[in-house]
Amino acid sequence: MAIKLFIVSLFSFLSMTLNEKVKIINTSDQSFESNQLYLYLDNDLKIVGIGNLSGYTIKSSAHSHIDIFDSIITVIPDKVGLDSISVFKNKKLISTNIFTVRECDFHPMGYLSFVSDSLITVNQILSNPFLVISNPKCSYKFRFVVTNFRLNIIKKNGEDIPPVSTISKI
Amino acid sequence: MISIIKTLKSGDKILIDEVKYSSLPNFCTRGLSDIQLTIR
Repeated sequence: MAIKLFIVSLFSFLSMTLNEKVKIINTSDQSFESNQLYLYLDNDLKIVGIGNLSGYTIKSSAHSHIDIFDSIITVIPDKVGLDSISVFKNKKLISTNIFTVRECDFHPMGYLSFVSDSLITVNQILSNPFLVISNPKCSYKFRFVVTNFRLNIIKKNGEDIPPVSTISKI
Repeated sequence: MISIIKTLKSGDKILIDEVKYSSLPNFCTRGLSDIQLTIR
């Protein structure tokens, strides 16, 4: 435990003393400042301060899977805990950043017209007649595409309106 | 469908079910809970 703490402190110190202009951020997280990676998901990291990654080497202390394409580094962690992502050029350490790998709680929710309440006005629906999905329990940037849903109208006066299937938009 | 929405009055309900979606990057398509809304 003491050794782990020492290593974390050492990397923190190094990250402060290394090239201050180079910063590693997780663009797959809604908060770039969170220093989090998500288990088993594609975490697209961007190195701010380096445009072209040719000649650079990226290493993960937790041996996470790493793919590099253009200026994006995709890291897929396979265990929770700490993972230091380090950038090297000609074997020289340029920058390092410690991320916490955590599981993403996947419980997507659907919202009509972006309304999370159980009450809605006709005008709210008409101004945004879309069904959207988000995953509020995790700040990972999922991309959801609604392909189909069924709309049922239950009139207060008992009038019968048959259900209608539609694609994402009312 | 918009024309149906325009006829809705206070107290009418909307139930959205049988939602199908795809998600990236994991393509997970678990069922989504039904959405029930009441017109204000």
